[in-house]
Amino acid sequence: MQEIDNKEFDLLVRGMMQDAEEEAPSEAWSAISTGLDRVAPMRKRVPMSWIYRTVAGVAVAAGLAAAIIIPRKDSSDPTPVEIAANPDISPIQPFTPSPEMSDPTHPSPVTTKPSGGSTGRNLLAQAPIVQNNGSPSQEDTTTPVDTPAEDSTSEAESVVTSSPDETPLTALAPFPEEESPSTPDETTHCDPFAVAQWDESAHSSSQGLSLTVGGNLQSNGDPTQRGGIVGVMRSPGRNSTTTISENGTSSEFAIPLSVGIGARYYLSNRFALGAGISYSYLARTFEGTYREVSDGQVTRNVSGQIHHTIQYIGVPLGVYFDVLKGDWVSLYLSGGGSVEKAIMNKYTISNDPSDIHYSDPAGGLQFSLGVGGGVQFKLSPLLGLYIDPGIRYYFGDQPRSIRTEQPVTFSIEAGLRFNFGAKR
Amino acid sequence: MHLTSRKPIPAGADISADEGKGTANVKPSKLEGKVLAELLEKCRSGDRSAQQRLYDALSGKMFALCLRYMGNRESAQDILQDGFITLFTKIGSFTGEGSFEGWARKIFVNTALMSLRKNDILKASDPLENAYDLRTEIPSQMQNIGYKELLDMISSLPPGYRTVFNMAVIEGYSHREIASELGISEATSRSQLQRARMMLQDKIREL
Repeated sequence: MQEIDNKEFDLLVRGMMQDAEEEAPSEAWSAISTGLDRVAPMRKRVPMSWIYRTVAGVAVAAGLAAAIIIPRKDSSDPTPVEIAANPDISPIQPFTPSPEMSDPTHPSPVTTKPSGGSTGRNLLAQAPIVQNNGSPSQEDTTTPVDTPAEDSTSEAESVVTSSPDETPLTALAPFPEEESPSTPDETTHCDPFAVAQWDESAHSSSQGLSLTVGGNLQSNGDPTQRGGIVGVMRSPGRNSTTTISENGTSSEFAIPLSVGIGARYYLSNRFALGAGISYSYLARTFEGTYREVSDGQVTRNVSGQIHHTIQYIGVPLGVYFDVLKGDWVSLYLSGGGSVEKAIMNKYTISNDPSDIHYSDPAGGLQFSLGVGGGVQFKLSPLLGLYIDPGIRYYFGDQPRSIRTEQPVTFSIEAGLRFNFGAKR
Repeated sequence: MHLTSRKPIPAGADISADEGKGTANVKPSKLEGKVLAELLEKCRSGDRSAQQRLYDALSGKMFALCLRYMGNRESAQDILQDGFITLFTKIGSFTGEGSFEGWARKIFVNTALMSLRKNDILKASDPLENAYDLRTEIPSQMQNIGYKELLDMISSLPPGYRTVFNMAVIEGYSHREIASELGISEATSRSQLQRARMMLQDKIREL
């Protein structure tokens, strides 16, 4: 008989078992396949062509949005020649709308888990493929396999997992000695592959981030038409006043337009919170009078068509609930509100030889509350097309617009939604 | 000493020969190079037939691993299934650094450990006061032991001994790593390993 020590015994066993194979049960694959079907569809590597298409789609959407929101250019040079007499009138500044901003936020059913699915550590290790003769394979770039340390005198710990590029296994969180049997979720924090632990709730979670770019059209059914002064500018320290009054006999409200960009984060499988930035453009035309009075004398009085535009920048916030989530289509409900600030409140008075431009800074904030629903069609793993009808109520002391005259409006929002970050 | 084992399958075996048939006639023991890269790419995209080919290539080794850790076929099959689901779900995170089989082994080891943790695998054991270098005689029967017999012996060890033995001897974990993973002391890890060796050698002699 041959005497050996522990190291030799271990090497013998390792040599036999390292590459040992045992035929798996025949029904194992079907169970695995079924399990994979139940797990959310694996993220597919997005072919480059899809990325290009996605970029093209964004460009088209941005172009359409820009085409809609760019203000009409007047035929005349908006040189405030005629209003120079009132130096306190704000000079007309051409407004360049910010690129795609919209009214965001709707659930994205295709958001995937964060790759914090990749919250686990990367424990890629080059385990040596030890041949049956015990010698390391060519793939083993580590030092030759050795037995683990047995005592303090023998520090020949196995270097199977200690190649320079490997994450040390000490990265694994310690497991409490006293811990009683627990559910998989309670112990998953100890394991770098914990997020990959097959758990139905985890794998079906759509936690993640999505980005929305879209536009919003609102109704302008039958707003109240009324007269009265709609704009007054008084010159501090000077006895001059500029007013715009509406005679209430004829006015038209353009369909309000909004564009924006937003992000949504899923708190659970179905609930999400969203926020974003929106840009809104309101316009109307009415019959009115522009009058300048200085020192009690009317220095200018122009009546006619007045084109009134208001531009808002807002922050919408919302809560979303997924009702139905399918592979290609999803349905959801939403509710929320927004706060907007008018960044431009301009009147253009038709006049000869040149139009008059008058800006009246709008104070205060525009508030709104809304509810609605939506449907999203999955165009690609990263991209979805959504259509969201809804009802919104506007309030707040703001310049006259379709929102003040028709506070409750029906809206249709459509756009593109991009999903990021969530790995499943 | 003659060690009985399966005859290794030539490396680089063409597993694409059965493209579309779902299973390959040849089950390479080791996937590498371009073959592996292409297969992984398909698996990442959710190609079920590619996943099955990868399963066919790895299932033998991984099931043996599961048997070593779990001790019985039913539990080992559960771990095998869970491990492969995890593997295919997380396959996108394999960056190509290191051996894919090594990466896969870790998934299965961790899956097995998580299952064993739930059952409080290790019983309290008095650490050996002095670790000693056991010198023993190789039983003559070991010359005729095949890997299957040895696998059965390892599987029959008590869960605690079996786990430490697998992690230390076959997977190559250090006692520090084992202690950290299992929530035990390094001394306990060493004593568990020593007892496992002794029991295993006793089983070999009983043949």
